[in-house]
Amino acid sequence: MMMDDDRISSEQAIALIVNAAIGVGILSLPRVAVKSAGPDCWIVVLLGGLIALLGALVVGGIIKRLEGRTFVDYMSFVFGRPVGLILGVVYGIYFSLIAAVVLRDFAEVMKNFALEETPLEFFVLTLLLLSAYLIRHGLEPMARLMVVNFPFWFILSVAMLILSLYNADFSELLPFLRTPPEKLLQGALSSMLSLVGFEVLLTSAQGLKTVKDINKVMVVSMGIVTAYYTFVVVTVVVSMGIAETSRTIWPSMAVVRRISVPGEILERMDALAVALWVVVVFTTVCAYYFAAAITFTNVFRAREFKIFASILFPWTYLAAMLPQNILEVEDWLNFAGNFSILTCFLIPIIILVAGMARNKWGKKG
Amino acid sequence: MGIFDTLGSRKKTEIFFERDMTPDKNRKLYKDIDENLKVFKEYLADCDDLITREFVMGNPERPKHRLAMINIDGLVDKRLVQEEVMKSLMLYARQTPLEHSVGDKFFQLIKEGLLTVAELREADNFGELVLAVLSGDTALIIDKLDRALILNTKGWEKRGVEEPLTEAVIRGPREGFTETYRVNVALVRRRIKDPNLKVKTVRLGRHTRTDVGVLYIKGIANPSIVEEVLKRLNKVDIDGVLESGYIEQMIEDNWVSFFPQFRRTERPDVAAAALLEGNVLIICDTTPFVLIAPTTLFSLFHSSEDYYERWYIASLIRLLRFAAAALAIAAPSFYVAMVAYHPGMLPTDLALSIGATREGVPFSTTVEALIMMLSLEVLREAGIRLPGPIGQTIGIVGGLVVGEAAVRAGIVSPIMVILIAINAISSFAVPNFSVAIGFRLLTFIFLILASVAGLYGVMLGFLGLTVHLVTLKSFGVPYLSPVISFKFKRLRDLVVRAPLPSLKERPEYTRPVDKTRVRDSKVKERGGGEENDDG
Repeated sequence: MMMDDDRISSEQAIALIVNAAIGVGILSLPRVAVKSAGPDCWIVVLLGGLIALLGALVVGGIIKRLEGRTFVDYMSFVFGRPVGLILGVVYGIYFSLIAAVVLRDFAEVMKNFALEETPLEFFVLTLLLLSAYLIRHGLEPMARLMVVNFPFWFILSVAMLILSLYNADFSELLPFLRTPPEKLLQGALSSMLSLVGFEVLLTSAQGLKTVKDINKVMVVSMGIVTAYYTFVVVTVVVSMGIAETSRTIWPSMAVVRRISVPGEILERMDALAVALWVVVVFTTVCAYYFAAAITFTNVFRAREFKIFASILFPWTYLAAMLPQNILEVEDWLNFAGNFSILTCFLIPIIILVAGMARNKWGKKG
Repeated sequence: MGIFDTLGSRKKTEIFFERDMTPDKNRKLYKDIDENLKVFKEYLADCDDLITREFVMGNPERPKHRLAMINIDGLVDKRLVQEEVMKSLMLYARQTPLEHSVGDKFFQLIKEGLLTVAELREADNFGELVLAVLSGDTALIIDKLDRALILNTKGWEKRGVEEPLTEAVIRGPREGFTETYRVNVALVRRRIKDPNLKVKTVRLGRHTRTDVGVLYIKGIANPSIVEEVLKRLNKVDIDGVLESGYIEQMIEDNWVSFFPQFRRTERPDVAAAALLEGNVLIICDTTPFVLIAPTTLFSLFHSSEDYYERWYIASLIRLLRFAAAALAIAAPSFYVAMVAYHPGMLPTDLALSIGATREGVPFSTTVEALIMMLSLEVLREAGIRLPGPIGQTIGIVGGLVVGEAAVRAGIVSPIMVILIAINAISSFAVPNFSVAIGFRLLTFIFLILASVAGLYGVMLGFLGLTVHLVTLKSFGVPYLSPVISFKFKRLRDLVVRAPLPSLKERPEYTRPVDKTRVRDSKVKERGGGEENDDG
């Protein structure tokens, strides 16, 4: 029937990007930003958002040029088949790696804040199973899930953070702009992993109903992501202080822990916040898991998407369980962040430039 | 003899609304009345409720025109048969000179001039005749003619139009559907006097041959949905359809789901409203429950009264229902998760008082909750089957006596009793019983998840639920529409109900052909000064 064509509207694409971008970053971004720029942490996030927007627009440019081809096919068209396939595999690994790292980070947080006795495997497995079940149904149901869940966690998390403002000290944000520019830039780059997410759209671009709105989609979604993260960072820093934020692994959780609800219905909110955060992580994992599965499907030109969705399951699980402890998880997160600079900015720019050149050159010849 | 056993030789025909009875349809009537009666008695051999009445027209001493009337005892209106058929043909016909009319002329005379029955039709084969007789019609066979008449004399004992039991309202019509197909269709037709209201009848069930009607308004209902409904209905091949539940389960999209993919109603006004919103109705003979397709989760929370009451009352009541649904699914699991896994979340005073009431209770909160919930389910089930007064006794004994005694005996804590009671009441605040019962099931699943993994379990349940709901469809319509895209205009008639004049469009999920509900000019005429700030 009409709605079964597995294509998504622009609003659904926005929801997809926002949900993919906002994930584990909520907990760690304040620390990353404060470590690199102190009181200017929010500028770091804004700057990071701006850089991410540039990357997003480049990706948007590529999506406009796909013209019905898959991303992998387009890369093959630009660089030749072997290079295109290799790049496709790189992207596939990248997407599944992000899914795995996010899952692992999530499991660590759960163990730390909610259920100390439960093994990490339980968290990773349950959430991964659920995402595998969802993505087997295709792009459109997943996008629908993003739309349905978005208002839920967005409103509740903002409300929670506002509640934590009761003892805010805005002087923590002073002095203003004393950080040297190169440090700001460095901070922006290191906060990149939290801000990217637009790259998942590369692989789902065939499913877009209106490709011509892609720039608007990118601007709106990056706007939402940047605004949300800036709000998170500012709230955490003003209610906890610079020094403490930079020393806590998950400063946002620490902030939420201090909230007391007016009327004394609940005394401590951290378990509730973690529960809410499950939704946020789940959407991120789904988006990346789906992107990985669809990329591999395209690389092998397979017809059956579901097979790759299943094959990726053990690999993602193993990758998530690979780090031995939380420090290694941090290393993996940093590695994934650097990887994302490659896949979200460098490679897309090269593809776009090469694609433009190829088009011009192709027309002449 | 297996005459009705036509399964083996079914083939596709143009008229796809009728189950094929090719062998019987091909068996034409004979010219001889005795031959015909013989075949008829072969068909309905050993059916003691069969009535065959042979009689003559004109001068009985020189019988020239022999006739026979066949019907089933109890299915026909005896008075009608006697007054309008027998009397007309045997008494009043004597005033008509019959001698010169033979053959077709005679047939024409009977059909057009003598029978005073309102509805009749011709038939020339046994298949049609037998089926008609079994449906309550009277077959009139005439000697020397290979054509017969089918007279509509249906009139069996039936329940009148009464107030529906399951969907009582405070404001709104008191009529409910009955067990008779035609009455039900008429109840809808009476509300929508529009030639575009189409009724297509299918006969389902190899043995029951139940009339199943598909109703829709042409020009509003999306043709692809109508087609899909008809297509699925025609694929149904089952021995019997005794209630619309059979149809529902045979043609639904997903039989694993806890959620009904049809709305069902006993109220003609709800059915009419659904038609106007672009839905398709499936009316099944022998049951007052009418199916509405497609369905979304949110439409199951709506009640007809929402549109009869003023908008802010309706909106508040709707909000209340959604809150009740949340309570119904999550209340026990949330409590168990907090008490068993995250006691730190509770304010100290509350934690202490819960601890005090749980003192002496030997079970874990999960077991405690399960005991209470299971006994409540048993009470509910027992209460439904028993007649009114005894049902009430069960309620008092079960609810008050056992509940009180359980607390005194220290098997459950009073807080748990309160919680489960609120939970049960909330689950039945949802207007649709099939949803309510689905929610009861979900409550158990959430409870078990919470007992396994605390709040994370509850969240897993929530995620699993949303994942299931986004993948669920009812006739190609996403179950969660219109909350699948950010279109705030569509939210006007969802969790709240905006004032009727502002609901200018029909709901979007049915993808209606004609979207307009309220036209602007009319609103302004009615409006006056106070509605100017509407916007």
